[in-house]
Amino acid sequence: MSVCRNWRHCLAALLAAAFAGLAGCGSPDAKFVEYRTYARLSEKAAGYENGFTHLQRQDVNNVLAALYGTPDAPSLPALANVDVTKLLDISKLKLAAGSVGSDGKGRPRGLYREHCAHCHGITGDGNGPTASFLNPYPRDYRAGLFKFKSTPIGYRPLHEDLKKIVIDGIPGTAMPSFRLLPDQEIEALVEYVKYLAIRGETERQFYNGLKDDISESDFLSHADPAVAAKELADGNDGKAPAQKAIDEKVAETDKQRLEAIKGYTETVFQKWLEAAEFMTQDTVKVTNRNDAMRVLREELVAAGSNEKKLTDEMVLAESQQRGRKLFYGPIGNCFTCHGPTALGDGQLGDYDGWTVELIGKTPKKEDIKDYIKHGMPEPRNIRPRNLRHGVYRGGMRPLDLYWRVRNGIEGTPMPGNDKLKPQEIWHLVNYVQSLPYEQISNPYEAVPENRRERN
Amino acid sequence: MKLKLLFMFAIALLAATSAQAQDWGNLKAKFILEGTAPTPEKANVNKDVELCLKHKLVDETFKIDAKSGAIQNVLVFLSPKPGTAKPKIHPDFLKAPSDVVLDNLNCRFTPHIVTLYTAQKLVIKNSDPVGHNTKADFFENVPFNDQIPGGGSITKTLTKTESAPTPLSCGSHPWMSAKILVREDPYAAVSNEKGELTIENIPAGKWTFTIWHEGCGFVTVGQQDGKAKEWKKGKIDVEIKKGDNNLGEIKIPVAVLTKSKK
Repeated sequence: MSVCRNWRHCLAALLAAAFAGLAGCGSPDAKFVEYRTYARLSEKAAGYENGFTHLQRQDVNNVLAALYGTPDAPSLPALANVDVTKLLDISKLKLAAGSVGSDGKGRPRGLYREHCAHCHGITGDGNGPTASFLNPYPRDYRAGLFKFKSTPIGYRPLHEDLKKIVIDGIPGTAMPSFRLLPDQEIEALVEYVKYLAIRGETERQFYNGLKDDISESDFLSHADPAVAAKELADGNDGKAPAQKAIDEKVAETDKQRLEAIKGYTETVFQKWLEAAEFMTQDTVKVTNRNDAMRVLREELVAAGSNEKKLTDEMVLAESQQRGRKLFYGPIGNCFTCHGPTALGDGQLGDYDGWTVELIGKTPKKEDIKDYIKHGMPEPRNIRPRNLRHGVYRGGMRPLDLYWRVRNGIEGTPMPGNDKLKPQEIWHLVNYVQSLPYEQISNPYEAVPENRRERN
Repeated sequence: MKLKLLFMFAIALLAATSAQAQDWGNLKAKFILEGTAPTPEKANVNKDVELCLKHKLVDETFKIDAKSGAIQNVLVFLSPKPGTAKPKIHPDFLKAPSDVVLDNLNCRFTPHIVTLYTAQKLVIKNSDPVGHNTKADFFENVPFNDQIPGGGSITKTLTKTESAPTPLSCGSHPWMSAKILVREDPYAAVSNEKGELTIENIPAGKWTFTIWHEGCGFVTVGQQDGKAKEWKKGKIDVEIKKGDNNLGEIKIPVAVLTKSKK
């Protein structure tokens, strides 16, 4: 009664109680969203007229929850053949997971939802509330594909590659720089992005498995006794099998399924672990640009240039000329897509890998409609970079450009090129960096004769 | 003496049974279309026009003989259930396997559907004067997207079984497409222009095979020697015996074959 000294206090207390109640039951727990587009792709390929059933999809969700936990309480699977702790640190994940806030000591919680989820979504599906307003769309992590990295196409990125993107942001897109966050928080976010990617890739593995490997009964984690009974009967001229035989078949299938689930999950982790291994074994190491320029200078001197008069600018100009030849030549072949004037207008009708996977390169209207219904963003054509702007999404260090030319860009039509020697790649990098300052054409001078003709 | 004879007899018997365990059989099949063959669509040739347009390129999904109805490019491959034993490999396949060659020729991939046993290497050539870049979106193997200059080639080693054929495309020429099936065993074949295929030297025993065509994915419905059949996810169970095993003539209705292309 002491709170209710007058009516105003009473009202305030009542309102406070009402809001506390709202917060308690008004906001449900955050949930991971199903990978509907990929499930759709798999069920179509499997020839299911009506798609996977609600029970089949629920089964996949249950297995995923058992392996990876929830957005509020992440967990990691225990796998016999892979050490998951080599890749993911659960204590960092816990810092990034959950709702936004801080604990009693002021340490933050829910970093992913604070900084990332509004664009990339709770699930990392690239479909947060702001996603449809952005161009390009935010990355969908669930395929495990990332564009800007030091590893070649086909390999997962390194931890450092993702960290660089979080720190620097992506110029020319809505992805901002998080340079001002403490290192510990950036680390937590990178770990969480990897976690969401791995979880999504596992979901893909499961649906892919349901599509073709698993055929006796169509559940990921267990056998359907009715299906087992029918199959036993089919194999025995239609005679109804004994209950014991059914039980045995179900138990055997369940065992196989558990092995399959472990196998699918291990495959995903192995891909991430392999990437680091590949980089240490890569035979085509990145060379230094200064070395490349020194070698070129020696070459020019050997060919008769006056060593004393040969300035660094002259060596660079020669390198850019050579790069230009490669750009328009058959081995570089850059102009095919980046266009005859490098304005990025050579190839305009293509789509990125995340879109092509679902609707193909020459999509039909029905397919686009179907996948949009299942969560695909409205497809947009992918544009080759306009190299006259001097804005490079993967970073503007010469090394970043070197990697783009050498390795290609994952999930895009940009191919890797291992026919170019490291020296030649540096020439191309030098030429590409000079493009924003190169004249597109030599404008014709006004011709005085014209005026005379008109008169 | 008697004991020795008995012993020798036992050994002979053992040898006989183990020889029997290593019987090998061939699987044959012939695919015929039921209905009128669809007319291939013209490809939208919008790059390197002066080189490519003269080849009168078409969508190569359906290569069907108008007269006999023979369906080319049907794929049949052995697909053991997950968690079950893998098939033994016949010694013939282990002797220095040849490379699988895929060419970029006249602005198209040739052949259109290829199979690769992981002991083989994949060589992608470019016999055209212009650059091609070949992109493969593998699920299990390491995907790639490589620039191949005119007259050049690249060589790839693939190590893992893919559960379905993987699409190959060219970033420079959007109409180009091909499919490659990668398996850790050599038991896969593509039907020829007569609609016929043979998978050789399969270990004797009960096996599951998958029937696949680009136009519909898994072939799920058809007629086998006049009897209506349904193959869930294109899976067909066959007992392979020593010598030739014939699936007979498999008729696929045109509505089933063109399912995903409609």
